[in-house]
Amino acid sequence: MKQALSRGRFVAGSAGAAALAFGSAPYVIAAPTKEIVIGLNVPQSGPYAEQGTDQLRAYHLAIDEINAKGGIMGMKVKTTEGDDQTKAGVATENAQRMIERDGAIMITGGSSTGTAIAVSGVCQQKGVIFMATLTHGDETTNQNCHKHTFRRYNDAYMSAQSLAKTLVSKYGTGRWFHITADYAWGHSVYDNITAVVEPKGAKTIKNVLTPFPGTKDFSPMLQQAQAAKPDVLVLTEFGEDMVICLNQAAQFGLTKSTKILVPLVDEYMAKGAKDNFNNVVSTAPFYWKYHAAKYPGAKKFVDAFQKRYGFPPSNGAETAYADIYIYKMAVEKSGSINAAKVIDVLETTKFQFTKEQEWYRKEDHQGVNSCLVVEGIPESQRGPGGFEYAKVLEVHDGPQVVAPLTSLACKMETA
Amino acid sequence: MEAFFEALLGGLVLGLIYVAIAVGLTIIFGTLRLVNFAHGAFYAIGAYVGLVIAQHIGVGWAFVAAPIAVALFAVLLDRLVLRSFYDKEPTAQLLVTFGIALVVEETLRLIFGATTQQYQMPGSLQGSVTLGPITYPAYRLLFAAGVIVMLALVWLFIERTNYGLIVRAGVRDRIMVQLLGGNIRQASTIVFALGAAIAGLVGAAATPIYSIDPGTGFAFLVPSFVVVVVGGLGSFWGAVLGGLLIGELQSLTNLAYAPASNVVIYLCMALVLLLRPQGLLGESEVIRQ
Amino acid sequence: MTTSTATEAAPAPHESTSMLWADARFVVLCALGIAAFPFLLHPLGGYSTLATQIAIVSIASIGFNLLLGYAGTLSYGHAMFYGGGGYIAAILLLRTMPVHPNLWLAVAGATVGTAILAVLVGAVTVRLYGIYFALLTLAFAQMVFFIVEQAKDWTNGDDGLQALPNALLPIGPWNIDLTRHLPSINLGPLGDLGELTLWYIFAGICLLLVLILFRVLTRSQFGEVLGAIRENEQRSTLIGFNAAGYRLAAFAISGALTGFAGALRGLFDGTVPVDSLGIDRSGSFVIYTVVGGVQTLFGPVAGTAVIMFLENVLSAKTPAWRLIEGLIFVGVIVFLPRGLATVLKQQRDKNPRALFVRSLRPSTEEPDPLLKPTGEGRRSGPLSIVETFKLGKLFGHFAANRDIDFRVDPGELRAVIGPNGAGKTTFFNLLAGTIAPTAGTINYKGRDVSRVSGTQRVHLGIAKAFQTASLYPDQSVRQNCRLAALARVQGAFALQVFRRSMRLDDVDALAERAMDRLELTGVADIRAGDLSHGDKKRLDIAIALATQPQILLLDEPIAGMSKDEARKTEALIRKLSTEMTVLIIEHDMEMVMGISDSITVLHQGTVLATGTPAEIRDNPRVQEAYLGGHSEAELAHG
Repeated sequence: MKQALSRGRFVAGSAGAAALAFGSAPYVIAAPTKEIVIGLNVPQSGPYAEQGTDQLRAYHLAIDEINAKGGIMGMKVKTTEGDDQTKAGVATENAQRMIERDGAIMITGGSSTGTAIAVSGVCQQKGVIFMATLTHGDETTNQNCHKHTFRRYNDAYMSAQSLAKTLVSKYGTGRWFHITADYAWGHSVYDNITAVVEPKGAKTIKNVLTPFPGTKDFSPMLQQAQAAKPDVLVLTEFGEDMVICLNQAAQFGLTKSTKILVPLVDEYMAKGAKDNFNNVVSTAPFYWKYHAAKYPGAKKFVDAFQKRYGFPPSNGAETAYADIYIYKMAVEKSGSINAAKVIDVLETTKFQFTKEQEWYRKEDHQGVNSCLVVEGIPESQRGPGGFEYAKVLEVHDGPQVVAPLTSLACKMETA
Repeated sequence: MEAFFEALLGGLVLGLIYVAIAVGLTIIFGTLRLVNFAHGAFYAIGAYVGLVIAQHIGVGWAFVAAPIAVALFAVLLDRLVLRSFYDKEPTAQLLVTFGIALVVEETLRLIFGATTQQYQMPGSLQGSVTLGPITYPAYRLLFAAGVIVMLALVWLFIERTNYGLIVRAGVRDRIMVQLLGGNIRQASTIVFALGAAIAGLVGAAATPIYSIDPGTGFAFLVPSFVVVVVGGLGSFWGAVLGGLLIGELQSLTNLAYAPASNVVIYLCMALVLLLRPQGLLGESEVIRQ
Repeated sequence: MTTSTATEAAPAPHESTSMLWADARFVVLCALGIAAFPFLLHPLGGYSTLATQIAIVSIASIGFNLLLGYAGTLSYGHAMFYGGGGYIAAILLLRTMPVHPNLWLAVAGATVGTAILAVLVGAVTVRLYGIYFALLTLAFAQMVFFIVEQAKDWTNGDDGLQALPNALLPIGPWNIDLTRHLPSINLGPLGDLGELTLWYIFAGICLLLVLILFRVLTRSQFGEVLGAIRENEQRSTLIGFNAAGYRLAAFAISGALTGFAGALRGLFDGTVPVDSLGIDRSGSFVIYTVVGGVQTLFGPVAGTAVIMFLENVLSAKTPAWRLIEGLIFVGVIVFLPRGLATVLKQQRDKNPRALFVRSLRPSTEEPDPLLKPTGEGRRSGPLSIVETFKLGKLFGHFAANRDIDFRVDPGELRAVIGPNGAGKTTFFNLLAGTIAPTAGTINYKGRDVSRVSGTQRVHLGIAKAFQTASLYPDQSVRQNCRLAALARVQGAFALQVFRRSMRLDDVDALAERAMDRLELTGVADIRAGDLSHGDKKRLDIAIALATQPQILLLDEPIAGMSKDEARKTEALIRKLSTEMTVLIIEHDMEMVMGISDSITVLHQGTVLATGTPAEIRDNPRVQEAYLGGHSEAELAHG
């Protein structure tokens, strides 16, 4: 017993010394501060790590810009970061720690719908605002909506509507084959797409589920797709999973023989898939090339990002950047960091930063903004770094494609 | 029907990866009496070395560099850390090699990042091959053939060379071999490096198929232990049989009822351990002194 | 496991009081430590949620340590209990009590559920040895993980169960909400009392109770046997302890404790992530416990606190925190083996080649009172005590024993001799039950015991002393004998988790008698590992003797002894043979010819001849067998 106590104390002592050496200061309970702490909870490992890393770049860009101009209401903005590993459990632990230990009064980030929902719950419990960035599944602002959570990014419904509207004239009566990631987001997308195209005459041959996460080998599913010879192949995968799936689909010759749909894409996925993304149709809420040409706010953002990092931002980065500015706007407009007041403003204000004028719906806190339908171009035409990955087929206005209020299952709290 | 054949082929490819790792595990156990939980690290290091070489120099060189790099690493590990653990209980070996696996995985994460990476085969190998009713990616077939050739060479090594003799004898009676004058120390190091190199080579070769991230090595290791247990600790053919069995089982279950595909291999291991603990081809008892 | 020190006799009254004081001091110390912990943590950058989590996970680590440190068994699948406890508690809350979430019920249900799981898994796994056990627990844990991940309707699959209702703790007329904060009292640099919630008090009390339970358990009779099995399993099974049964009990208790902690954690966090079932979680218990100190009570707590704290602090500072954790872990194993003394023991007399040990169900046989040796004289009669028919043992293709027809009567002193490689030790192992025959049968007192386990045979009255003394090196000579006597008195398995073995007088008496017979009373308090070679050999015999055998198998009892010691031991053995049957394997011909009633000669695995010493010495075939290298003179004088 003595042995363990003395060794335990020794180790604890050196741990303490190490901690102090790292300079962790004792934390203070929430007291009047001269700074605002924002928690950045993004994936830095797992299949969506590249998306998370790009969001971090955008966060830092926005916050540095804001601090250079005096911060938010004169208060400097500090950040605390966490890697959620694309796992709900880790994301919640991070959020709790950021709020309790680091004093964060706003949490932003997200990688998958699962983590977003988890963090959303924690933030609601703690009374902290959550600006969810990269979450695409409907649930975040539908079944699992919360008063403290705001999601600007398009949801699966909007993507499906946009895709379908653009394509259905060409492929509406065709045969569709689906390969779907087996979790909430995947199901959400599949349901939404089939709900739109089937009434128009499209025939769903099959929906093959891929275990999520962890499927690295899509060949069994792709083989089935190849045997079915569909007109349209929908690959409902995201991040690295989509890249691998698409590359493997090429090995089976599917990129040449079938029209491939990927419900949501970003610059890194297209880069990873290289030439296999050519002719693939997808959606995105933001495309730097298109928006920078059209909106001064976007151009400012893209130029600043490019200047600082040497390459253009992905659409996940854009929403991260915008979310910081939207929060700043809301705090300043409400005149306080009090969550309830900020929520009030967010629910009732229209704003414009990097896209057209947009707003959040009061009923579910879903952002109403445009959704682009894009089509991949050959790798040879993609410019330096391969960031110029697509051409825009059509732009759908937010109000046109957002889910109707009548279909909402959201029961939002009053506070 | 085509899906079934495709699943069979897929199971073969997967199974061969397991076999390659399991063979290394089992011959290392046979000669060194070492339970090596760090074997997945060999796979991962080989994969990353292969990735870097393939991206910067060329795919062919990746297959040369990877096993050499891993073999060197293995020898280093042996000299520095593992040597003092050969006489210790298997539990202790499990613990220290588990720790090493953790350290290697985290180091790889720091160096290469956590994202999943892949390199593509040269264009000529990227297409598909038609085998009767099915079309199958050419590289996977090449991979399977390559692993089979490699295993045949390993088998020849074990069966036909002096070092291999020491491996086989060592499985039965280590001390006897030493008394008979066999240089078991040197043979052991060579065998350890060989087992590691096999895993490294397979890691590099499998990356175009399965991609690599820091956790992949360990992800392949756990089923490989299942294979070794199922086949019989110390048995080369046991590793082959076990690997193919587990690979096919996983692949076919994936076809029949995908959610069970991961569970079923552990069920298999549990069954074998209950009904025939020495494994399908393991020896029931080994002569004691 | 406390090593037994000199005085293990039944405590005198004032010693009882001092033991009571020691216990009280222990409780108070623990309580103070737990109470102070969050305040010590605060200036280092910790916070109350972390403190509560550390307290809860420490419970799981203590449970894990029961298995690793005290039962000497490594499990790589404890996450199935930790996560399992969390999931069961959460599912109970969500499905059966959404309106009135009751913490007791949820936690109790989870603990019972994981205990059952542990028993089921354990029943299957404990029969296997060492690495196979570890791998099998890993396999089961992986199975549970994947099943839970896929059973999305029940478990929400990969996202885990979230937003659990806040469970209340009903005590008497009140329903306590554990999320309430304590009143705010500023303590300067130590933080504010109001940062803590009632959860910490509850978790702290649970931890305290678990520490007390653990202390009681490890000092109990059950704990004593567990420690003996850990220290030398081979010896423990052959004095009659059901090693597998003990391991199963330890596994069940360990699993239940870990499940209990998992349930608490899930309820405290309000979520149960699927990772709580994963390999990393299983590995984390190993890391916490090993770094903290395996064979100690506080080690797991310290290890948990330090590593969890470091994880928390470092994860914000550097992405290399897991690497640092791994390096610490490897460093502890490589450079600080002292704390891992039992896990890393270098002894190779622990069946290095036998990769698994089989044993049957726990023995429920009571020792037959009629079989107690009463010091009667030699009995001769038609009923032999041990008889074998065509007994054979194949190792692969090698027949170590074949076609052995052997018979010895009660009270005989039979020597079994033969050239090297004749199969003598194999024969003894077959008789003792260490290995199973591949042909033929063994009868003991007219009953076929060929398939009876070695452990059960000890309780029937067959005891063996080893060629290389198999002792408990860290225990005193007296304690070595006491353990054997304990096996005799309590049977193969006894779940005496509260009673201390020193309360059993029979045990002490048997032990004293055994030591006396082998003239070891003078070294009774010496550590067995420190004995001279000759004393060790005699201790090995004494241990066998303490099980009150009917027939004693001695494998080269005087090998390596000096001439004087050998003669003395010889005389002791001859005295023993007046009370029981003794079989000896020996090479010393002087002894063999001198004390044996009869001799069996084995050659090339089978019986060459049986007869009186004179008959054997004059047997030409025996001479021929030995003359492969021996002269007649050697034959006569050994």
